[in-house]
Amino acid sequence: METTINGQPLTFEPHPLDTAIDVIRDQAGLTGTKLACGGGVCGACTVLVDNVPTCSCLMPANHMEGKAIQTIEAHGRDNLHPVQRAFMANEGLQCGFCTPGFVNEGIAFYNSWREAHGKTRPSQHDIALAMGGHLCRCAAYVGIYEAIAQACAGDFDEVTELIAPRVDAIEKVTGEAKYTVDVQLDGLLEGRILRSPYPNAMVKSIDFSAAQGLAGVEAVADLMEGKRRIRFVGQPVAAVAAIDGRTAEAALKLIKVDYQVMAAAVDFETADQPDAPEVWDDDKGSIPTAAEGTSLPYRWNKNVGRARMGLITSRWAGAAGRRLASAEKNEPDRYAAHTFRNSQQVHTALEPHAAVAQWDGADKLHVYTSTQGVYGLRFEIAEHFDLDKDQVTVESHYIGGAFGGKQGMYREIVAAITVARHAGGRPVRIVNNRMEELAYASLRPGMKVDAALAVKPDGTAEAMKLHSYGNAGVAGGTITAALASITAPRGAYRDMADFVVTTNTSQGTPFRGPDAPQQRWAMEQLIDEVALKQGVDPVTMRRKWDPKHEIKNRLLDWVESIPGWRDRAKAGSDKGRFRRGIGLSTAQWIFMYNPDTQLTISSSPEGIKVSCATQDIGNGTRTTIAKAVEDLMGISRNDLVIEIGDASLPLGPVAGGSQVTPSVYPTTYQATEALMAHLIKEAESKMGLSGCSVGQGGINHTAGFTAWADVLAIAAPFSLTEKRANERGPLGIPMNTSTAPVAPALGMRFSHGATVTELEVDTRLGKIRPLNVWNAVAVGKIFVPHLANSQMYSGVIQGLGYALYEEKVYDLKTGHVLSSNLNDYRVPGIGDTPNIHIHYDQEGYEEVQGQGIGLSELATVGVAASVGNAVHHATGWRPLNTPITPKTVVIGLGMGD
Amino acid sequence: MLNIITQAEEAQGLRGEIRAGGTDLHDRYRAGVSSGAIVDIHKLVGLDQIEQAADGTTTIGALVSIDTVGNHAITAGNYSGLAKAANGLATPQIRWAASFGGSLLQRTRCAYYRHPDLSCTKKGDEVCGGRDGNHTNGVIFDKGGCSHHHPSTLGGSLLAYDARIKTSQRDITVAELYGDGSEHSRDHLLANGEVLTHVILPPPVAGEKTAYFRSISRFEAEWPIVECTVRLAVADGLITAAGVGVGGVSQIPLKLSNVETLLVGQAATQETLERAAAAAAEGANPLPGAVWKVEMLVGTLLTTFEMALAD
Repeated sequence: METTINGQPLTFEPHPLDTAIDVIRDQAGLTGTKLACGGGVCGACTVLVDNVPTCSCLMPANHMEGKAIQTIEAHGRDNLHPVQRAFMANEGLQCGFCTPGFVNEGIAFYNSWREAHGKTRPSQHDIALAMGGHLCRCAAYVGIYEAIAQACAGDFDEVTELIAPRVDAIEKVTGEAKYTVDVQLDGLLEGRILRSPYPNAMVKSIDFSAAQGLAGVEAVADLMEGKRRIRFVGQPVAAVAAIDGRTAEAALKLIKVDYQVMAAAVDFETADQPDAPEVWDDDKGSIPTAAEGTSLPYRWNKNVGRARMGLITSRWAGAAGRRLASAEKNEPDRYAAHTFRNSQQVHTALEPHAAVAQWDGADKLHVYTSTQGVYGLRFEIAEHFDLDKDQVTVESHYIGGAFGGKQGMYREIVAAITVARHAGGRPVRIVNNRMEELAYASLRPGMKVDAALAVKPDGTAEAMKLHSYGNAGVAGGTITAALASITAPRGAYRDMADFVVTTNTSQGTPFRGPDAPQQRWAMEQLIDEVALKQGVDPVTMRRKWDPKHEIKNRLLDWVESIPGWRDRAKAGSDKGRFRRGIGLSTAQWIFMYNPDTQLTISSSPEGIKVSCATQDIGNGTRTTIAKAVEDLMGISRNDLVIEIGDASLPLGPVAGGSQVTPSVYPTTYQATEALMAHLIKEAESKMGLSGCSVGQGGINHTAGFTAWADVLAIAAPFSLTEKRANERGPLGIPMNTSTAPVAPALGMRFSHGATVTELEVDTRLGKIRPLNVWNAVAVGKIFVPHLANSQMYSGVIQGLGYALYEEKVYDLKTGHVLSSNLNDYRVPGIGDTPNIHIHYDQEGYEEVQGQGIGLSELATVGVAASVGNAVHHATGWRPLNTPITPKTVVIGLGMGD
Repeated sequence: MLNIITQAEEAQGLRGEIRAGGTDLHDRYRAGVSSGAIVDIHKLVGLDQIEQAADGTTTIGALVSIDTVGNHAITAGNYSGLAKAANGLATPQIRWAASFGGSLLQRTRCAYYRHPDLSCTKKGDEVCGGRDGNHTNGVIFDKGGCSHHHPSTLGGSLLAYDARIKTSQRDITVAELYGDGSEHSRDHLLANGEVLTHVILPPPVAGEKTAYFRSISRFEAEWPIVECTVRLAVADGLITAAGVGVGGVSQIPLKLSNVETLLVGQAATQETLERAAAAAAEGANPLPGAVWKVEMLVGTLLTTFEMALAD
């Protein structure tokens, strides 16, 4: 068959089951086209077929015959389309994995819009309808709206210079960026994982003989690692590697596993009952953790673990209980209590969990993987596979989203390395399909929270209870109550405790602001309820809780400056079908940074290069590093070489805990200052300059000004490495509280935020439409405003997804996951994006290195709670569970039962 | 095994599932819930046209894209309820690629069906996993067996238009295409090797008001909780004719004749609309987890009626 791709004829003979993406990626070698959902929902694979945007994952390959196919590679960096330029200039992307699809659809829309409307600006509604077949999990929708509108209006028709606040935007809009799924190596084999279909079982035996006998199968591997117990559906049992994916999948069906199936505890709501099967009846010492690397001490009663942290989380717990009981009985207007529930949320980054592993003999291992922590992963792999770290390389150059779900040595990495060991030196690639990604890979734990609050007559907090029961599947480690207690009013009595209830379901992991949205969901709604009962403004009540806190008070001043908040109607006063409401939540997060961060900065006549073993998951690490150099030297960030994504580089931070920016920006700044001092010396000695000082883009000296480029041209190649300075501890002494080089330290500060959401509830059909969200954070100095804005927008949108749509659903009989495709697991689309208003309070962090701390987790912490309060304000009905779906609204408002 | 045929009759006797646009089929094959041979019909000649006879009867070829159904002058001008439904389903890419015929014959979107390891009558299992499991978005006009609703938006729309179906073997009504919902292993009643070739719409009704609406949780691109296509003819403030087709509520798309009866001959007022919408709940026998959808059906109908009157 003949087709044309980007003007080039291609002769191909497709397999009957091939779709266009197989031909485009595997035969034409064009990896800019991405497979993400595989079901025509997300649009990442969109190409133009005779100029019509088409999901190449569903288009039969033989239908390509005679067609003109255009992929993202048609518009390379020397032939950029105005739509690409607009995406770069407007931050219409983060991780970049969905970008080729969006750009192709954008180009088609640009053409049709121009034809019908000339150089005019389409509305957000027009764009939302056109882009309805695309999902961006990073939620860069605000930038995408603006990019498409500006491109259609002609703002980029004449632009030829590179306008890109994000330094790797050009690689992402052109499809040049190579993700783990795009790695092409000689002899590459496709690996697949055989996963348990049972939630609780013993593996008695695995028979590989039939699979090994299948032509094209190159390796098989037992993934049980000497253990026999299965504890959740989807747990890896075995792996195969074959010459192609189809053969590997056929081989999986030939592996015979003899399971001894046992009764399972799938349902979180009943797993705490005495007769529930016990998930870890044999080995509680091996329970994994959903927290960021740390295990908690637990006291176990079958599936229920109580974290032994009462001394930290509680304060006179007995007194708290007595006062709450008394308030409930005697002062009901000063008391509120509910049981709140939050469903599990799945990361479902558009690039799935993926790894490519290649053994070079028995003691040299190369790994390419989509990871949030390239540096630490190398140590984990080395330890697990009994190697020295110098025998292992780990690379992760582009990462298609992570959000907390790609930390550490996840199971797909282990599987790829293990099966590759038997593949005779050939590399093996394992990439989750979307079902594996949604059902087994990673998730934010669900939560049941019993919470109560009593206030004193003056509105200050008297006593509070927060007992959280984490639903992290087979894992422990949820810290909802601990987070709530950290920021609770100091004077109040607290009965706060973290429990987990283990179930035979897949493991919980960190997810953007782990456990924080859940505690805000409970506490902020209780505060709102008590304030309403007291007839006190919710802002006034919050001010009383911490009256001298300057930052919190400034944030509350800002809340009161929002016209929609200031002029809001009384709760429940809207009586029509569509009812508007507005709600507030405050938020806090901890300050993490990696004090062992090291950066190497190098100069040569070619320019400046900065190297660090960190990674960019879409947060913009490359750009943050480059911006620090740009801020000091005045050299455009786009003219710098930023080398990351390789574990052999100097130690860099994990992309987690909002620690990347406060780790790399100040360190780059230090390193750049040192480099400039060196270059001035070079200029003095080699160019004979005198009276030198740093000027704008170069050196001021007695004879005038010399640009850095001129100094670099004559200076000898040079490089230096700087380590981040430690933050000050309680006594003002700089200290490193990190427990290991790869572990973050806690700075002695908190970040603070406030979120106000205005929405509309359709009381007839239960749909909630967010209209406006005002999101403020106080984190000190904003280092890279474009990147900060993107995090703030996406924090809101992901938070709205958590509040309104996203829910991991299990079949309770079998333990299988029902929300296992992107139709049934609902993430926010572009049309769900409200107007988002951002505010930064930049004062108060002057003593911190660089004067600023991280914000990306804080940006999402309070969103769901503000939605809950807004729904109550609109309807008088308080939602206790997330997501607040049409069903819960219809039932909550008493219209259906 | 892939057979690419050029005449509809060739399909008879060939083993395999029929593929037109492939948008449903490849989703299922990739997910591992379907397998086996394919009979590709995208090269069948003459099935990509929309034609109107002198008496107004309109024939739509099965290979016409959903996007074309939504935007072609004949359909958009004369059968605007169908066109609005076509424009209101799925996503732009799917509407461009998917065929009209395929949209009527696609397999159920039930999560138990779409999961390779879960039990489903439509995959040949004895037991429907959702009936005793999760059927939050299940049927409220239950026909037994399978517990999930039929996926075809346009099937419901065609019921509102009293359309007919032409296949390589026969000429049947849309209601006959779907049967009474008692065939729990199937989503339509075409025989193996029988190719849906055309949809035939009766002559249009001039000046009728139409609307299509689906209830979902997000802005767009979501399978419906309940969906509705409505046609109303209004003269001198009286509703003179009505067509109401709904989806999301039963194992087959439904035409709500009792609701139509309550509309026809009545004043085009809010009271009439509310009374007729409320009547839709009559006879509902919802699954226990789907009771909430009865109110959604009433609300969705009322909303669609209001939209139609404002058309």
